[in-house]
Amino acid sequence: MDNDYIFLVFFTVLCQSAAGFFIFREIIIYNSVAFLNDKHLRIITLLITGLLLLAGIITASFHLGKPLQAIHTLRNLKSSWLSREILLTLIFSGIVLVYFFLELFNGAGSFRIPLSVAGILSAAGLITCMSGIYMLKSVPVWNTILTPASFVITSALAAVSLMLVILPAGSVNFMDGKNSGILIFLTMALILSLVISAFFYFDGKLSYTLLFMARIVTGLMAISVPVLIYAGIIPNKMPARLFLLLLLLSTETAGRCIFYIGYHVKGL
Amino acid sequence: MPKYAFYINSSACSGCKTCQVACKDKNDLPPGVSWRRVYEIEGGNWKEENGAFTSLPFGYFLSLSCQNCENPECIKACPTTAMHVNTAGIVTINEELCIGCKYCSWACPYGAPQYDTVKKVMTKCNLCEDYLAAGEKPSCVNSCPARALDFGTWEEMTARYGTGENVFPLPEPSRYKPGMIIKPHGNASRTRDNKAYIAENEYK
Repeated sequence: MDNDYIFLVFFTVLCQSAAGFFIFREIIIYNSVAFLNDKHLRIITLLITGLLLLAGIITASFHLGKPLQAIHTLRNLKSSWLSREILLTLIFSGIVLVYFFLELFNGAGSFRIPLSVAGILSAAGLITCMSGIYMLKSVPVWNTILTPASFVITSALAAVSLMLVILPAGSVNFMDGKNSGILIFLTMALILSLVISAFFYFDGKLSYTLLFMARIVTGLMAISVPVLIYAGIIPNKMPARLFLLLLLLSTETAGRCIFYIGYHVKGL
Repeated sequence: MPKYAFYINSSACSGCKTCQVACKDKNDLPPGVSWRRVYEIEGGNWKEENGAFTSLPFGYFLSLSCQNCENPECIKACPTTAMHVNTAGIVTINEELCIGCKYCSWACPYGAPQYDTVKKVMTKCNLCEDYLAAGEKPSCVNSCPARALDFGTWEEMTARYGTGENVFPLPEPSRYKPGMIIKPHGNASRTRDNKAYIAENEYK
């Protein structure tokens, strides 16, 4: 594995966060009248999705030898998962851009449902294509169900934690019976994410061991934040939620580094 | 289009790397890029007899380059179609289309496509296409002092050497159908019962 895999770590985490966040936004928008009527919230959530995608695309370009020739990447849609991923990234970005400008000027109105459906499909397709890229026959450690599972979990964790930061403090109360499901979801998804990392981790070098330890420590700290909020030890306010988001992104980024380090070709 | 094949006599290979040097010289390859690579496979264990331990080490060499597979994973993976089979039947790279994403190198189980940090594109063995056009064999084959390498069409090579055997650490040939016939070193059979590994860190 090349040393510049770090750009792919950030690309995958950022784009999966964008995809998960968009899907979660659309789920909330059709279940919460307050969210649907809050123009500011609708715009800011789309802006964040777009910025995450933009940051991901810029980061990915550093991995390429000749990024200015990237226009050619759509030539092999027939068999290359990488071509398909790039096509879906472009489609998803385009939908978010149109959706954003519609919301900004007039409100999406009757375009909301088609844009929602197309956006959710392209976001889900993007995560699927990302999984397809890594499920190579020549790399057995990646060619398992754990690859799409880890990508979906990253998307879901980033989506929920980002939304917790953006929603007005106090609007989501972990003590509330309905919202305590968020606490259970975050905890279970994080535990699953940490367990999956253990399957990718195989190298005994000190640097990798330290990375794995960092993954576990940040993951356990992230689990503890909603538990401490639930227990009433720390207040359910912005600093705690922001801290949770940072911990989740850190632990998922460390997990993705472990995923790439696990690259080991069957053969030579 | 003909299917080409390399014959690799692992039992005759001394690991001198002359083929590797000849390839680098002929193709003017920069540091870090080796279209042909000589891998050293090592392994062994201990045998106990009447309380006394005997060490049983073994080793052998494999000289490998692009196998010009019939089912090339690099072509399937390449997003730009830069990786393609040319009119001479050789899997090759169109450097005008290549963006240097390195995805082909992930997909290839033989480590054939390699990133050229100067050109910023992927490069790979082209079977010395100019030599083939002139009726000669690739430079690696010509240079081998032990005559451990040979090259020709699949039909010629199989008629001369049979279909060969698969050896550690190469993947099952039926999966990619590589143009490669290997005569295994005697020690290669011992990888079945012993822990074997690629000794050099050079190509990892």
